[in-house]
Amino acid sequence: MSYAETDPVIQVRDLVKEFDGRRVLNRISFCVHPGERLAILGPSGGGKSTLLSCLIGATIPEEGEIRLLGEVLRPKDRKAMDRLRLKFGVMFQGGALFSSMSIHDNVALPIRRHSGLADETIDILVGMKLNQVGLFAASERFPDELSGGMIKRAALARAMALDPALVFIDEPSAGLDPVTVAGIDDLLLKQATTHDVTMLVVTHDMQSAYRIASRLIMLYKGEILFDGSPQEIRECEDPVVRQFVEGRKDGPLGFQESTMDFRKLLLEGD
Amino acid sequence: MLSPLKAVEKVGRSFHFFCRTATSVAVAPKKEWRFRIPLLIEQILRAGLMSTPIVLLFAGLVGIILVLQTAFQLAQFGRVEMVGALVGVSVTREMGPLMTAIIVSGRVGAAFTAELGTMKVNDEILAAETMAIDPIQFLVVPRFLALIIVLPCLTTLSDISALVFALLTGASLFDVPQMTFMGVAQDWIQTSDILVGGLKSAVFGALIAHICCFEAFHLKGGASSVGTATMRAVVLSMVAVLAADAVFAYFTI
Repeated sequence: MSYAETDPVIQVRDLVKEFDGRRVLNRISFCVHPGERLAILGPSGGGKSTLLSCLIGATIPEEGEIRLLGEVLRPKDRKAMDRLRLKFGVMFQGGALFSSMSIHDNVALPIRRHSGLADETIDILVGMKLNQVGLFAASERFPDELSGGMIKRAALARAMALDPALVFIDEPSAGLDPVTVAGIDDLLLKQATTHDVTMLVVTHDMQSAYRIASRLIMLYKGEILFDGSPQEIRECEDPVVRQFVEGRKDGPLGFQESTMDFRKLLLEGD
Repeated sequence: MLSPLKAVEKVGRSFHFFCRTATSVAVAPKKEWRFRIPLLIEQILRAGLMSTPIVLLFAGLVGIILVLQTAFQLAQFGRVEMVGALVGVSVTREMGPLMTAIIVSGRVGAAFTAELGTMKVNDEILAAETMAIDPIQFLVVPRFLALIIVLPCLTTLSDISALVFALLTGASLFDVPQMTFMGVAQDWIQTSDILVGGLKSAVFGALIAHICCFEAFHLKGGASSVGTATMRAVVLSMVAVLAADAVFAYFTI
C-alpha cells in the first residue's frame, strides 16, 4: 500500500518495551498527522526517551508496530532503515555534533553522503541551512567553541539538512536559559511551518511545549495519560496532569524526600 | 569479571563486528571511496606520522640495549662482530614488529577507543546512524585500513632505527667496524624475515584496530566506562598481538 500525503506520518500500535523485566512502555498507541507538532511530555522515567529511541530505530521494542511515513520500522533491516532514515531528521539533546568537524562540515555531511551534488552546491545549501538558524557567521567554528544554544541550533540545521518530512527533537530546552529556550522554540516553530515539517518533540518543559506544540501527549508510568491540544491540557482535571502542568512538588506524582534521620544517628552514635 | 556465557556472547559480537568491518572494506561501492580516502589519509597521518618519533626512539633504545647486553658475551668468544647478526635477526624477525605493535596499541589504539567511546557516549555514533551513515564505514574502516597500512611502515622504520643505533653503539663502545656490522647483518638477515615481519605487522594492525574500535562501539554507560573500555582495549590488543605472534612463530619455525 502506497503512502498518501494525508496518511499519518507516525503510527504507533501497541508498543511494549521492557528493561530487565520492568515495563517502560505499556501498549502505547497513537498517530501523528502531517503538519502536526506533537510534544511528548511526562515526568522523568515516564518512558519519553525510550519511546523516542524506539521511534528512531535505536531501540527494538518487544511488541507492537511503528510506521513512519507509511513504512513499517524494522530496526534490524539495515538497508530498509537507511532508506527510511533519509526521510526523517533527529535533533539530539546534547547536539551529538561530530566534534572533529566544523559546524559547516557537520551540516554538509549528510548532504555530501546522500545527494551526489557538487561541493560548490553543497556549500551554498549548507550556508542557507546555517543562515536559517542564525549560525552562518559561525560556520567554520567547531562544536567545542559554541554555546549550548548554538549547539542546539547547529543540531537543528543538521537534522533539517536533507529536507526531511519528519523531525524528532529531543529535549530542546535542556540546559538552556529561558531566553535561549524561547529563541530555540521560535526557531523550531518557524522551521516546522515554513518547511511544512511534522515535528515530534520530547520535552519536560511545559512553557516550551505550549509554544511549540499543536498537540500534547503525556506519558506516565509507560502509558498515555493525556492526549489533546494545549488548551485541553490546561483544562484537564486529572490530578497527575494538573500537578505536572502546574509544576507542584506535592501530589500523586510524588517526589523522593530524604528518609534518613542523620540527627538521631549523630546524637545516638552506633 | 565476565561470566562464561557473557564471554561467549562477547566473542560472538566481536566476530560479527569483525565480519561487518571486513565486508565493508571488501564490498564498498565506488562512491564510498570518495569519502573513504580523505578519512583514511587523516587516520594514516594521525596514526603513522605522529607515532614515528616515539617508534624511532623506542627502537633505537632497544637496539642499544641489545648491543650492550650481548656484545660482552660475544667478545668473550672473540666474535663481537656477530652482534650485527644478532641484532639484525632478532629485530627484523621478532622485536621490530612486536615492539611497534605494542607502542601503537598503547598510543593509537588507546586513542581510537577513547575517541570513539566518547562519540558513543555523546550519541555521535547514533547520530551517524540516524543520518543513514554506516558508522562502520565512516569511523571503523578508515582506522582499520590505516593501521594495516601504517604498522608495516612503522615496523620497517623501527627495524632501521634499531640497526642504526646498534651499529653506532657497536662501533663506539666495542670497536665493531661499521662495514663489518653491516656485512654480518646483511648475511644473516633473510628476505623472508623482513616479509614475515611486514605481514605480521599488518595482522597486528588489523587486530589492534578491531579490538580498540569494538570496545568503543560496545561500551555502556558514561565517562568512566570510556576509561574502562580504553584500558581493556589496550590490554586485550596487547594480548592479541602476543598470541598472534606465537601463532606466527609456530608456523614460521
